[in-house]
Amino acid sequence: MNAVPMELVCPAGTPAALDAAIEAGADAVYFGFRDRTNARNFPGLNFSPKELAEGIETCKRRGARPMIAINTYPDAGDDSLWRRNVDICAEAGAGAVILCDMGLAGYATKKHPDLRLHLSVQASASNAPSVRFYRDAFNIRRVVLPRVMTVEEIAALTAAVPDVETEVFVFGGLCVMAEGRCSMSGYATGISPNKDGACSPASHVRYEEQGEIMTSRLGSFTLNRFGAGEAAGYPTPCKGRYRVHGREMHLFEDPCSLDATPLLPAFAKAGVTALKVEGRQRGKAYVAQVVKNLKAAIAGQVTDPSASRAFMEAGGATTGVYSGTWH
Amino acid sequence: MSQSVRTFSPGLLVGLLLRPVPLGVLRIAARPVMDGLIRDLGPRLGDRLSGLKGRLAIVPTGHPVAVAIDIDDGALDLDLIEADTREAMGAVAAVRAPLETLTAMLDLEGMDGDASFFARALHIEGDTSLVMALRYALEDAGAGVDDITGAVPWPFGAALPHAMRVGQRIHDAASRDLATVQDAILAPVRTELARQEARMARMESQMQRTQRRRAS
Repeated sequence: MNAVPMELVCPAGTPAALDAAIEAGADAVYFGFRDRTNARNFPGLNFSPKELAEGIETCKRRGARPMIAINTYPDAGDDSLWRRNVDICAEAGAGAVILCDMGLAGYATKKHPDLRLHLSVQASASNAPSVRFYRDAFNIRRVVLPRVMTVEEIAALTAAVPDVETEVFVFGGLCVMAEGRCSMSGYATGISPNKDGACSPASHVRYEEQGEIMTSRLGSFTLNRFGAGEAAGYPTPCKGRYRVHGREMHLFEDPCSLDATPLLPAFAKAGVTALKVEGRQRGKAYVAQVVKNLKAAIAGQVTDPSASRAFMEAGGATTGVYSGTWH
Repeated sequence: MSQSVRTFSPGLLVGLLLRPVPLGVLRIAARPVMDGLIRDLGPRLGDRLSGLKGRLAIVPTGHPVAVAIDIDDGALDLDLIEADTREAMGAVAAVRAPLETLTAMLDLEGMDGDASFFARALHIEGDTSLVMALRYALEDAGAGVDDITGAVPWPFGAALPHAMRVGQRIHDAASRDLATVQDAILAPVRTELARQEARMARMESQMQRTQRRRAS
């Protein structure tokens, strides 16, 4: 079991959200560039190189660790943008760079040996040999685990590779968890979540209202039809409702959010180093409320789960695979 | 699952009260505020709107007017227009929500855009990317109700903070009263709904029993 409290790693899509995260008690903040190197590459979101350097400075001044996500896969034959961003992070003094591509990890290790590297969830490393490989080849210091493991499996992995820290998601959006490998949105739009950084890019999302019925579409595909008063979910193919054998259903997963707050003691016992909040695309209000609640829960205070409920997709919460269930 | 959203609100009543007022009068009244917002807010939006172009209409539910936001590669222009369909407003995107939801989204203690969307309190039509970009730009600029009140010219601006405090108290009281009214109006519907749900459950149960009997 951990002797030190687990680190709370919080999202920031804008400098304002970064301030809100630190104000709410984040131990570390992760953010990214406003370009394709970022798996949350949405219009108007993220940091210019100048804002990013200022964000790193702000974090350091206020006692939070700045982590920069460069978590998409570079183009074959041209990874100059990805390399440039690694160089900017090293120069600005980032606390860590979160990456997934082996070529980029090789570049970062060689060019900036002192730069701390974390393996992004986009790499989907979920077993000991895989984590050992990344450690040995690229000096990966921490791995962000994909949300496909039970707490027992996490404990076993942490014990098997004790010199690599583990970070687990505890709150926020869920998908089918084939991270780094999912092509559904890319198939529908021609824009890849893994290479362009946008799952269900806003430019391809449309909503249509017919009375109280709302239909969501992605490209030429109809994803969902929400009835009167029915809580809505994200317009991603994995949350879509499809007709299968004559029956309408959420074929891949129900729309709901991860809330693993009740499992924090189990994560501590499993040797987890850090807890991550998903949601760089979310607003300041989400960041402030969720971070405040989790910080209190880590400190052992009793928290009110309903305080975060309004921020959850379709109003639903799950502990996901961690406790052996799956929606 | 379903989530209830209060639609019968003081903001809606304000919209209904504004209906008889000619658009021309509202535009003249709002022009100084719009100019103040463009002057103060425009530079704070940074380059989050750069490369984007088009008109976005913000339509408070039940109001006769919408705020038209014209974006042109980072530059901003604001106007009041008649609330209508997105096409009739000449907008590439439209956002419709109760006035309370729109103001709550500007508040750190309130709901973010995603949460309002999940609750079906926020409706988006047209180019979603323009809506998202503006939302992030406004949030990062720290735009809030204070910006709107700060843009109201003297002498009204000077009296506004006090008027807002009084207005907030009236709004809170009216919200409670209207919620009671809404609940009273909906009570028979809810009862009927519960009755129908119980009937459906009974029928499903009967069907399952019949299927089991046939299978055995």
